[in-house]
Amino acid sequence: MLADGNLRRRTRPRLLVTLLLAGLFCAWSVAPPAHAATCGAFGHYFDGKYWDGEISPAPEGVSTYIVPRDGSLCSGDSSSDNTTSAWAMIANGNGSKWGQVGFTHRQGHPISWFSQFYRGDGHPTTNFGADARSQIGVKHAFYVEYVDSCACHRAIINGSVIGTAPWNVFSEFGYQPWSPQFSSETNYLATDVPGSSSYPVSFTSMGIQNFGDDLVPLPCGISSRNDNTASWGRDTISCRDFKTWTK
Amino acid sequence: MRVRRQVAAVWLVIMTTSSTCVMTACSSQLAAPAAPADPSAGPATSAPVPTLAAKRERDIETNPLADPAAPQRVTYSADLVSDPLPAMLSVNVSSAEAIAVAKSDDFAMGVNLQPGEPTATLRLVSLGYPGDPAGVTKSPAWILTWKNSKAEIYGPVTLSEKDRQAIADQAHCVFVEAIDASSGSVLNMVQAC
Repeated sequence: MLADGNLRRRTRPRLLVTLLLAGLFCAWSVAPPAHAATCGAFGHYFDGKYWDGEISPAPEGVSTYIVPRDGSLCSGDSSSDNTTSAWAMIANGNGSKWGQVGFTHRQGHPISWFSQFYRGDGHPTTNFGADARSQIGVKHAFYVEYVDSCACHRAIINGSVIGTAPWNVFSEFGYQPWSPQFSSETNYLATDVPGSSSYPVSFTSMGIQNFGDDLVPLPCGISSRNDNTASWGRDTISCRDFKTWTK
Repeated sequence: MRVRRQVAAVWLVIMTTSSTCVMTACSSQLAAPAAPADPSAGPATSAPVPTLAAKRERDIETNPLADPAAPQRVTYSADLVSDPLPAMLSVNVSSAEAIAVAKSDDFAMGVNLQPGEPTATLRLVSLGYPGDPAGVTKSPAWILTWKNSKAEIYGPVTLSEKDRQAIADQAHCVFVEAIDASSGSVLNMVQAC
């Protein structure tokens, strides 16, 4: 048995070490809650590409491969209007009517495929597919196809129809030539566009359907847009390939 | 012995504090608790057994990329039961105005949503189409319908915010959602505006 003085000298360091380890353990145990940015002003914000003006050949449909990713939604809007998405679209020349297909993550819902068709009558037709979280990171084929038999647009993902515009698009759209568009989109600048720098959303082999119903490569000359250059990145690989992500 | 007691006491404090830390940190991440079951909903029922023959069969549409000579998709649909909603599904419609759908003729993902669906009905739906590599499966699903006051507008990069808002304000949409009765997962949803 040691003298009290010696005992105190030996036990104090042990206690200090124990307390130090305790502090580290407590800090490690407390997982900081995920911080979502406050939403701010509602709108529609893009990081992508759109055709502006004349295009040859004139398109009636669009196609692309997209690798879906997820993005964090801002806090403060718990409605399904709070979204982050990526899509391909054929719009008429003044952007007032469109056929669209892609994926979307809406507040309160898992990522899903979606399509939307609008002919300017105040009644858009939107379809949301089943949970697509298992498809994140997998390349998929997205196609807004003009179909001669119905003179309509169909939204097709990997060969399966997920939505149909129940009208004659050539009668309804007008304003030729139509505009092919490919973009990531959010409803708040504080929301992340899908993807990260290591795992971006990839748009590849972008193409258009010509009036002969053939899919052909997208011509060079598409315009770019990024509404949040401070937080969102875009890398243009070629005339038909680009990536978007949140920094 | 005294040292061991001191060390043990410190660790006891650590574990208690850590548990509190974790619980506090986790509480903000927990999902909101499920809404309590509606006491008027009646007793829970087990999965219903279909007893009715198909009320109707309907050709939906052909797969446009398939061989035109291939058989068309057919939906087999039978009313099973119109029970009150299970508690977990009541959360989806409790805050929304539920009306009979006026138009739900869209076909998507193999689930055919028929016009005139009642507010909540359990149906047997077909998933897939003849020739589908995954095969055709039949599954009970709740078909829910409700009305929303505005539309979610995606739209072109070139569409102005003012024009989008005009569309959203004008479009009063009916939603029709098919939910797998076993798992609760959403099979498909149509927004008809």
